Amino acid sequence: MKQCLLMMFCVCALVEDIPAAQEAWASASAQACLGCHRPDSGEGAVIPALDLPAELLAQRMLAYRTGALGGTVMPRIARGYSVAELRALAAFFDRDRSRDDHVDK
Amino acid sequence: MLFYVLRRGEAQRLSGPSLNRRRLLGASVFALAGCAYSPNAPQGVTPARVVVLGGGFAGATCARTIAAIAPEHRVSLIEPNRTYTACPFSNLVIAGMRDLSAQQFGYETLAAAGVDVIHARALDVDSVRRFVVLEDGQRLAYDRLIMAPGIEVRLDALPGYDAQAAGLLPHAWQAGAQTLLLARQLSAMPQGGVVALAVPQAPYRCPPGPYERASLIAAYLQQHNPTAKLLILDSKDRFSKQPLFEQAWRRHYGAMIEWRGASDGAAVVEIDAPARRLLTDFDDIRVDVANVIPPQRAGAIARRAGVADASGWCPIEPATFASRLQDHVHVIGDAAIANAMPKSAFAANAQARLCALQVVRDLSDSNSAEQPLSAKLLNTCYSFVKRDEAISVAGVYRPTPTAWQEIDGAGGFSPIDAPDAVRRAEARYAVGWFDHLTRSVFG
Repeated sequence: MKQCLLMMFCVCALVEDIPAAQEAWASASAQACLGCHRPDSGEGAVIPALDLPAELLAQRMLAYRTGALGGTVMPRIARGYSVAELRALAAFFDRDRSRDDHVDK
Repeated sequence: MLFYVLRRGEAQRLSGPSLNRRRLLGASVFALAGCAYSPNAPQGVTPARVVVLGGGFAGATCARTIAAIAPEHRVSLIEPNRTYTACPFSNLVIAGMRDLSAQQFGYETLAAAGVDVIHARALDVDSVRRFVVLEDGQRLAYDRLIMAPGIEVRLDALPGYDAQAAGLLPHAWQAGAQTLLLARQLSAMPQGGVVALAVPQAPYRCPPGPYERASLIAAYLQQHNPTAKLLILDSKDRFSKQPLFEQAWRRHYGAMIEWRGASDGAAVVEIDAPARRLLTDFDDIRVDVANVIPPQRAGAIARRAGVADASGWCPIEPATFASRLQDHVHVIGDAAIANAMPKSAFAANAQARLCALQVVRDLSDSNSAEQPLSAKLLNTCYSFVKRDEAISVAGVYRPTPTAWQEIDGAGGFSPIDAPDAVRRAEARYAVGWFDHLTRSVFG
């Protein structure tokens, strides 16, 4: 139980800058991303999985949004979201949080 | 699991106690879905009966998602067929580039993931007393009904094009026997023959589908019947990804494909199936193979249930996919009027996932209807222009109180001046999308 509480604290600290309303928005909006992407790592998938640390994932999506990073469909898709929305999506898919989640199976 | 529910105090109030992140992520992980989650109901949630009608991309996704994120509810999926035959990529089958078996999927994994799969035809819906009537007379009660009936290919809309005519001049707009029939007719066509492809007015399933089909039929003919012609008789004046398709046709197929639009008088108004004649307002065209794609509407059960309007399609509250015409019923996929969102497998899958969240939340929180989860959705549709080259259209959408609206400045088409390498990359991504989608829904 102690361990569980400690972990709770750590994860809360990681995500505290994402307001709850935005988190709920991200959990619903992320569903469309999952039409193409796996949230976890998968062998041999043509389309990249989303299991990256939130900061790296956010950076990548923001770069698609500005056009700094080229791609086929991702630049067109990223332009449909605000900076805050892309950050909230990245936080939802955050690999480090996913790992913590699985500790408590 | 408890850990999660505790941690998400705030998000919980917004999204309902059972919508935790791990379940939401896990719902999409084929390897884990159905086995990694505790079946214990979150406290305070009364197990509900959710019935999903139709096991295509929309219905199967929705049933599987609800079973994964809210295993406390009983989810039944009603689907007459034991094997699902997917439409995306079926144009490759017509062109002899893919086996039909690569399009076919069973429901065993959904059943193993906790979905009560019922292989029966639904005959009727009593939306007042809330039950579905199956063909054997059994009544299936529901707290929420999710309708994903897909399309009905209308065999009463184009004079001369009835069920018998469809057996002679296939539509192949629902994949399976019709797909194989069209493939056989193409391979049996005499050298130098003419293929006609009749396209209806919008809305219909898969807006760029007819033009992808034209591209792949031309690729087939180029190899096996190089003096043949393909004539597209369109009931519209413009079509999806038109500049990209026309560029590809010129580059790859020369003069083989001829497109005629409504202003050219090309709309087919009558069919003489035994003689393989297509009549327009001005012409009487006899061809060797005719692929007639007739007008469509929501699957027949939508009318029985009273969720379709005079247009033949189903009006919904955008954010929740709740039927505008019947309480406790949601409509997703091709049958729904989702405005700017096209009738595509991608859109059906995205709508189904969001609808699953809204329904689960609605079942656990009576205030959710006034304040639905807000979300954006997106769509990506790939079209092959030849075996190893594809083009795409993408869009991002937000629900307003009246419609799913496309977000300006986002989305759009593959660049017209892209090198072949980009077209080939998009073909690889198309395959990646199909494999991922079908594995996450059926695998």
